[in-house]
Amino acid sequence: MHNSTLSSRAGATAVTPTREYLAFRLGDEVYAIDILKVQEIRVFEAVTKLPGAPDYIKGVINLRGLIAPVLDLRVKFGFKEAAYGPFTVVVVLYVHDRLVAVVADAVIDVVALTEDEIKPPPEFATSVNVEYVMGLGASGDHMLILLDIEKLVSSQELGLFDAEATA
Amino acid sequence: MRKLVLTVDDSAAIREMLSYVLKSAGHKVIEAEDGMDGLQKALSRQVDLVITDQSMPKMDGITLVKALRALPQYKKVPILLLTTESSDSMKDEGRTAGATGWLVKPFDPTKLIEVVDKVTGGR
Amino acid sequence: MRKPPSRPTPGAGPGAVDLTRFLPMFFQETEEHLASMEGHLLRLDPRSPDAEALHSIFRAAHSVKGNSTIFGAKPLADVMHQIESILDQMRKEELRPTSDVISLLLETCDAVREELRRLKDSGDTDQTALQPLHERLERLTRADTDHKSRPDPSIEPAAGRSERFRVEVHLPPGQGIATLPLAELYAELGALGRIEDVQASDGAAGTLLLLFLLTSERHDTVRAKLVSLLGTNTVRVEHHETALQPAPDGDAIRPAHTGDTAFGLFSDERSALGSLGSSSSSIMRTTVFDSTTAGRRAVDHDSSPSMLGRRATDRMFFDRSSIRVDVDKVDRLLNLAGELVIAQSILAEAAQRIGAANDAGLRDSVAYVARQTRELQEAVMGIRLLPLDYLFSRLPRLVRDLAQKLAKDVELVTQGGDTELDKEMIEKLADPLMHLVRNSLDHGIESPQARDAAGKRSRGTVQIRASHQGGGILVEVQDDGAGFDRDRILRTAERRRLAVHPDMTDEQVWQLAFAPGFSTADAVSDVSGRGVGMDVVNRNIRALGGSVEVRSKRGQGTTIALRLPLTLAILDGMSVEIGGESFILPLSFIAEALVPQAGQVKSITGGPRVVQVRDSYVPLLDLQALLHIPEASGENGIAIVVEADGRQAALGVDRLLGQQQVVIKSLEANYRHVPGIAGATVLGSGRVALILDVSALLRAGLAPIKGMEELAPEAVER
Repeated sequence: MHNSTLSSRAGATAVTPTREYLAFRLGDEVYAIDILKVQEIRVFEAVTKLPGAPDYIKGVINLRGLIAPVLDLRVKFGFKEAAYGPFTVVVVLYVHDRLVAVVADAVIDVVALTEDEIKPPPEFATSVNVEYVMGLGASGDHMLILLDIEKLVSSQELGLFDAEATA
Repeated sequence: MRKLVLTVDDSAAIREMLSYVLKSAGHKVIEAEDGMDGLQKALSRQVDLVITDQSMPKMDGITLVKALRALPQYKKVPILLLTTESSDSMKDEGRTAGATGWLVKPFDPTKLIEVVDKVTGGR
Repeated sequence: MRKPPSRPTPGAGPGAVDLTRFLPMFFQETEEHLASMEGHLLRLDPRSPDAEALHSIFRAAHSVKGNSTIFGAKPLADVMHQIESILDQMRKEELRPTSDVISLLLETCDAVREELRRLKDSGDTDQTALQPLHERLERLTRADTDHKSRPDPSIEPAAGRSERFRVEVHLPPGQGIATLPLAELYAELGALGRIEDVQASDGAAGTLLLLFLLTSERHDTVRAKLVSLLGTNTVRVEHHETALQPAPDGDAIRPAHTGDTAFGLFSDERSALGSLGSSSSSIMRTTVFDSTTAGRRAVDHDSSPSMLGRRATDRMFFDRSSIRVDVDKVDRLLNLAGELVIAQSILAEAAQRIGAANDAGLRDSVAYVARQTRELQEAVMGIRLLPLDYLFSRLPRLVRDLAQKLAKDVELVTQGGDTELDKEMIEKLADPLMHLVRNSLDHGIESPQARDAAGKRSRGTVQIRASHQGGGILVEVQDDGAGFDRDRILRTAERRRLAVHPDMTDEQVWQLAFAPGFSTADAVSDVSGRGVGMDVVNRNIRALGGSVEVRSKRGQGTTIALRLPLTLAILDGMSVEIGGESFILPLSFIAEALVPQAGQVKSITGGPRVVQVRDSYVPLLDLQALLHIPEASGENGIAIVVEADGRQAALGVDRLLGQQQVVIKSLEANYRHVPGIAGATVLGSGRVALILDVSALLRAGLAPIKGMEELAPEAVER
């Protein structure tokens, strides 16, 4: 497991199993994904465009010799703005045996949450389709939207993979 | 005592097994895939013991034994035949060719090590 | 992922080592032996079976039998034992390898393979699965006059008849055997044939080394080789006539067991040295005491052992001068070499930036590194090259079984099997190739009656030819069958609502057969498999960076030509800039480049544009539409004329950035197939550049229907 950093609550007992999540910012919202799926975090650098790709797929980048697609969830979730600034990073994920890079406005922290600290997702519509939300958590002042990144990344909707691949 | 053993067998699986058992007992192993390969390896490096299969391409085990015995440096080196049956004819053949002993496949690893120790005068 | 065997059934005594760790090797070896047996069986000529082949089959069965016993697969061992007997009878000419017999043996190999698979997956053998075959084999080995024959003295033995020579090496007293160049001597003899016996003795008269050689070489050849090695005074080579001498208990079917002992020592460690001449009676008697066929290894004596004459089959399956390397290791090496190429180009770029132009020493060093890197890469890629025979070897069986099933008479001819291709390419070529062959048999070659009626030879031919062509490989599958039926294809195309018009050339009509889901077989033929059609073949070949061409003549036959790059991994490309973005254009497609002058680019009434190339007009592809590049216009830049699938078109690019060798990286590993893009690469700058799929671009750009649809991301062919 990761030697991790701050845990979200002082006094969290060591007994209850916790999982760690990487919290990052997309626009005004804070999302979190299972840290075990995160391979690395890189500075957002020039991306090579892919012809005919949907607008939320910015292109591909070179990850030490492997070519991986760059996904901008801000565009996909329909955020007003999707700027690229000095703090813009890409979070490289390893999901379903593939590498996918996801753009983030900033990485916030690694948060440890126990199961009871995760509340079920609300019924009302969020920016992201509720079926990809595993639950809501909290870290300090932030509300964390826990993404089921595996499901999201492999969804037909995103069309990242060929249909056969997700079998 | 650690010995240098030459194993000659055209089956990679058997060679693996022999290597495994011999190395576990602390011996060093050189492998050959057939009689000719075995002979060449024996010529290029003096080994303490030869364990050879019989039926092999290029040169069979009995001929290998004879060729080795014709060499001054291998007149006294123990040579064991790996056989699939312990029959009289095998024994005759092996004895005439000059082999030191035989071992029936599949071999009991403990027995193999015992025989190896015995013929090489180890321990 | 393979499941580990669930339990070790290898039988051995108490204290037996856990043999499961050696099971993978056993499986692999047995597979190889079975493949080798199959290969030889297919080549056997019933009238005069090759002794060497029979020997190889026998030995393979023998090895499988031995290993199977050790690893507890008794049913396999039993069946192999029967095959041994059958082979021995064949060798003694008591049994002829007729088509039925060979079919039975092939069936047995299949069944054994099946059992092996079962053992691999479940750790268990089905004791009864091989029973029916066992019985059929049993019946065969007993007197069955249809198959048995008397040895026919009029039949000439296979060419390369072997003879025995007695090689005497004399050494004067005082000069021991150690003074001989033994390693070379044995190597030389081993290369000439098979050493069957060795005798040596020391005496007052000196030392004598006797070697008995079975070889198909001539006396003078043998003598010349040995004399040059040892000198005329030392060696004598003579013919040695000896009849086979049976072993002492040669009549026993099974050598007697002397009880329990699993090991033992010969009580007197007598060496084999005897005085001169006394051991001659033991020469030529080589008993195989673990064979149950009359204790004689007569098979060995008759085989032509010249290793020089070894067939490609043996060499392929048991190439003793090679080592087995884990594929992963080779792939890793290949990746590293590829990374080195990229690193070296980054280096070159950096050097240029810091002004290598002014520093000759630096320039030279960079160039040197580039050269070495390229050589290293080529060498590493060479490791992965395998001869096409690897694929071709599966075909005879396929053709035989299929021809029988379809009641057609077909002959398979292969050529250029020694042409080498990258291993991965070969693996991916397997399915398409077999499919094409199946097609030829199923739809191409007519029945013998139909062929007769058409005035053709009743035996049809399927030819597979492979050769190097222009930096790539050409594999052609040709049959002299019925040829493509133009009308039928057109009708089916219409039914499937594909755009057709009466003026289409034959080539264009054949291309229709490549459309997804296209199949003229009205009843889904189970022979060709679920109506899987040419479109899959085409797609597979394109995915490899190759192309498919069809030439066909009604009534005469069809040739399918597959063009493939040498390797999947490296590409010679031209880096180009289009609309501000850079792409790689594979050099193999580039015919020429020109800068069109004003007025040389014309449009055909509101439709596609063309560019004038000398005396003709070449369609100018609309890359803006095809690749969704907003600023690509192709008017003010350079027109590159490309050729693919027999067609030409021009691509408009803004700039040529330079030629370079690139390492092809897969887009599909982490993403998906992008229409119009064949792959990606990493440039010296570290950035990703996309490699254009010229074939696809041409197809989309030149199609009579709207080209854009074909490349729309949603309309991906899946």
